[in-house]
Amino acid sequence: MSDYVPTIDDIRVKMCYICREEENADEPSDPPRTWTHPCKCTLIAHEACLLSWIETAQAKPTGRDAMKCPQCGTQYEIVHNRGQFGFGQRIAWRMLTDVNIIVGYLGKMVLILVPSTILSVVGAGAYWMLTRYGAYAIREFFGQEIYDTFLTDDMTKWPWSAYINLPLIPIFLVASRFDTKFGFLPIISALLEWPNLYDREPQIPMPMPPNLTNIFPPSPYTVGFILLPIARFLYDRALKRLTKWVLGARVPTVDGEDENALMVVRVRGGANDGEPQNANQENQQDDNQPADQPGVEEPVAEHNPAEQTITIYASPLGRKLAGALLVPMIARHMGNTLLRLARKQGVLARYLRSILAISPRSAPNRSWWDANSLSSTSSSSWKAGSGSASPSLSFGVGNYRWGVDNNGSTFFGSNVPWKDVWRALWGGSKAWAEFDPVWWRNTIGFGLFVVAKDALNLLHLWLIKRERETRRIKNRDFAGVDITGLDLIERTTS
Amino acid sequence: MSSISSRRLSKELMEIKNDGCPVGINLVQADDFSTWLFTLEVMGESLYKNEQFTLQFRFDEQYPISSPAVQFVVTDGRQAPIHPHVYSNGHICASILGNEWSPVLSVIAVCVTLQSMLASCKKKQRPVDNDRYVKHAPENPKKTRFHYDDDTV
Repeated sequence: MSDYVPTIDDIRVKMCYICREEENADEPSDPPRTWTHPCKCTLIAHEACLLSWIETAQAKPTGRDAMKCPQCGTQYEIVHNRGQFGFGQRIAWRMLTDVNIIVGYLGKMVLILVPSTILSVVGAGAYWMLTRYGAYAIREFFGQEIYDTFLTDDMTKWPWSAYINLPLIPIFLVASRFDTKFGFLPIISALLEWPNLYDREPQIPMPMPPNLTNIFPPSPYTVGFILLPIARFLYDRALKRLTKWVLGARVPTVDGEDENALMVVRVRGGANDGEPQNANQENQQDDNQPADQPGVEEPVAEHNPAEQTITIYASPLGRKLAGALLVPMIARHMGNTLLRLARKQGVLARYLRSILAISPRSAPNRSWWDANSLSSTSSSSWKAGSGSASPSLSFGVGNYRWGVDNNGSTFFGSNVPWKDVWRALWGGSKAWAEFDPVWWRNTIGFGLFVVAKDALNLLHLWLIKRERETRRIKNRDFAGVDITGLDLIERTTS
Repeated sequence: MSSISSRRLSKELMEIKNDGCPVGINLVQADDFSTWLFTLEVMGESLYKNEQFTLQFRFDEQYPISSPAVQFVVTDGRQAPIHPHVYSNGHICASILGNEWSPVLSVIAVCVTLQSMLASCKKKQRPVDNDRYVKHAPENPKKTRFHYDDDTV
């Protein structure tokens, strides 16, 4: 009998580990109860007790895994009696249970999808608004004609880069108000539009006399990347010096702690105020940007009682935002004002015209210089050189381009005389020159606006300072006061 | 037809009466099959030397399929032990009272487990969220969804 393997029925006294009831082999219970030994250790149980435990535990999602033996960890196996749970029933049960699980997952997905759809709609709306503002800013700043040529109101005609650059314009505009390190970003954003100029070159082939280059007005690239930073730096230095002389103070700053303040000026102190941030700056493509010095960031000085602090509260956040977003409009109005001034007769007007490069005719396409000698020959000489059709995709300024032409091969300004490149870089392309340089007078006008605003600001601060200095408190005598309590000096009766 | 809980509990009671309780555990009251009271002391050198606590068990009709509601009694001047898994209202955060409960455990087994939990404690401190929990705690600790943290405390 060496291969005798006992089963559950061979145990003399069975005890169910769940209900702890015992059953003697000699006295079977009546009615008989099924016992089961479902695992590898010696735990046994009533089948009914075990099934009840499994059912309860599985109903709770966080319950322990009731399908394991608590002592030896063996997995229990569930089997069905063929007679009681037929094949058809089993299939149906399996299917419905699985379907239920799948539908559960679908429900969870919907729970995620619906809010994200709402969010994406909101995002799309925001994107559309930003993009339209960007287009508006371009139109205001560069003038209607350039806008019509290169962008147009029809969104489907825009080059792909417009979809990226345009919404960035308002973002950069606002960002540059909060930290002037970003002041150059709107420029880059707008200028990045312009490589695509070359795809849209007017189809009229202009025969270009090769030697005429116009360098005035300078191209937007020149203005943006070279002139503006220089002008900004110089203006800032001048402003600081002036402020110091007028007020005896350093550049107006916004104190970190006092968020409601528009401007905090420490007068007659001279201690550094941490990172200077001009709260009242406008910036975009203007050449008189009062940028702040890249930070002399010393720790905030002790409050010196000898120095005064002028704190101006005036809802800075809204004003910053409004100021940033109004920049294109202000620039346009200033430009228009300058144009009107320049159209008058007189020496001053003529001088103005030459600065602004305004043509005698208000119509675009003709600049101040001779009509035949339209500017930079760069693109056309390049064209003559290469001889092929205009490229389908290219980046760059003037001749200095990299791109893919219609045949699919890449080129890189190979047969290009470098002199022309320089001319192109400085003077801009033919396409630029064809148009009334609206942007140039807008830039100058905006610069003047900034200067005027800063001057007004300085005047205001100076007046505040004067007011503070000349304050006195009105003196009263003791009429009507009970003087018995006062300790008066003996008056010698005269 | 007596329920599964009464049959099982009467068996356990008989066992306790016959075999006695382990050291440090004493049965105080077991008049019915709904609430039992024990006293608990931690033996040997421990942070809870010479401290005695009262443990309350509450059973429902489905015991042992459903776990008992176990907590320290904090009425009549009694205190709950200061332990990172014991809240000041007596509720206990122990896995065997929650998702690790199995019918193979018994009342004595729970007492012994809690005793060793106190004995192995390194530092007397309340749970981190004690005040917040006690403010909004349900009356029955089984209603709380505890997160079972490390067992090394």
